[in-house]
Amino acid sequence: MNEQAIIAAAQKGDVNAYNRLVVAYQELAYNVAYRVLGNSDRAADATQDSFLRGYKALGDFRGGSFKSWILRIVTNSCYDQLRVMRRRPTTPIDDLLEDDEHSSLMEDHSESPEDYVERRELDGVVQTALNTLPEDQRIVVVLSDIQGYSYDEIAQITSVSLGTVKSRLSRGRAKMRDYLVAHREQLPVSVRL
Amino acid sequence: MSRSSQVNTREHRFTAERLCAFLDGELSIKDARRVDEHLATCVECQREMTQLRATVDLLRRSPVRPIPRSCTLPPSMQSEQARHRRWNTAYAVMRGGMVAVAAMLVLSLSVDTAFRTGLVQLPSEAPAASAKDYGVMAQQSEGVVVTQVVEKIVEREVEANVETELDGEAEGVVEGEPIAALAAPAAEPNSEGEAEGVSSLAVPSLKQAESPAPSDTVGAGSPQEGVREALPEASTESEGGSEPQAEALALPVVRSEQPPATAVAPAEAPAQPEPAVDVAAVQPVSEPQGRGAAWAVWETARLLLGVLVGLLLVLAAGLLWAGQKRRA
Ligand SMILES: [Zn+2]
Repeated sequence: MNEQAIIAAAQKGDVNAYNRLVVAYQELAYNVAYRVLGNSDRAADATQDSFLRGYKALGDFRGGSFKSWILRIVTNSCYDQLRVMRRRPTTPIDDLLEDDEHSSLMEDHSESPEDYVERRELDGVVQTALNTLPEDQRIVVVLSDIQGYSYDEIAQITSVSLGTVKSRLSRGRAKMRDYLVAHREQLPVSVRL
Repeated sequence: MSRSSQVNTREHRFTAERLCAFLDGELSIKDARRVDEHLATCVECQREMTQLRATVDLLRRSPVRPIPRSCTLPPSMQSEQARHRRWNTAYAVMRGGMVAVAAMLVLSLSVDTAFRTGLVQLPSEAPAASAKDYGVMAQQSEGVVVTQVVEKIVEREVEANVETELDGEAEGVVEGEPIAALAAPAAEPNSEGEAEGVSSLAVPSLKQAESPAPSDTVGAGSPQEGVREALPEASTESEGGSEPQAEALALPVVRSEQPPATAVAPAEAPAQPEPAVDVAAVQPVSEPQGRGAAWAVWETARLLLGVLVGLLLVLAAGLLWAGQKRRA
């Protein structure tokens, strides 16, 4: 069963068909949300909310890339979550708990304990650097440099012009570079700038 | 500042603004060549380029996180959605039905009105509709209330009654008094209690007819005959509106299902002198002649109307119920 057929079935209200799409894209959606929001609980909420919204809005889906379509919903959910977070900023306790989540990285049984520690360090620094960016730039940097989308795709997902994508990415990436250069001692030796 | 360093500054700025897109291969071939040429000569831009590439590489390597909980929807969403669809279908069907019934109602009403006002006539029918009829038509075609039509129907029935009475009286021996009694209420055909007026008309004439011969026997050619013929019409047409009178009449009355058409028919043939009060003068709306066929159409239309109104009400109730169920 190809994706078009699954989408068609889901559009007729087949929740099992829709869940196959959820399973296929929820990790991508969650990782985008996590990098944008910097909080796993918020990211999980945003992802759940996105797929629920997606199910209800599936009638509006008019072909094209389902991945781009659902990511647009995810970015909108992220903006909603960011609004909520601005109203109720997370307490330092939450941040500590977040740091203690040792199981939060994907397990890779082939890697050594040292590699795992390095990966965790990298994860932490990247997220801290991303958190310093303005939201608009952060979303574009996440979509481009973490998820590898083209400018066109990002323009579609974020509903802005190509020029806006270019300038946001240019400025966001420059800020990331500045942060990583300034905090290079926190980075694993192999990836230091 | 030398000319070459001026050019260099311009190219440096140009490149600095496009390094990001250059890195992503999103520049036009022409711009990319220009950036490439500047990079070959500018150490600063080279360093910037290296750092940006390292940043992107680092971000690309950032670990993927497993999702803490699955976002698949519960199966209950399925039934909810399906139920939603069922209701939507039911709703659409009922809405369609409502529209169809409403359309039929309007159609039958206008056909009915057209027949009643004489605008539309069977080929044999001669009289053209009066100006008043056109006025009524215009009023009604503007979508004005059903009650008007109903009033009109009552009016027509009253007229039919009056005619019947007159015919009966005309044939009867008793002259003068009953006609005068009839004429008085008939002279105000637009009063609200017309149906009542007609039945009360029947009462004095019954009394007059019965006073000379109180027994129930029907003498052929007797004065009562004409009155008795007229009475069933009065009692059937004014049913519900005037129970006491109807009961008072009940004894001598032989309930007939005869349509008024038979009662009207004699109007074409009367050899008797016209009564003092002419019906046409009282009610200026010209009656379509030869109502036999037309009357059947009216009756059918009226029956249809009743059925349609009933259907409409049932559908409205269904819609309301479905809407509430949906909201719940
Ligand atoms: Zn330069």
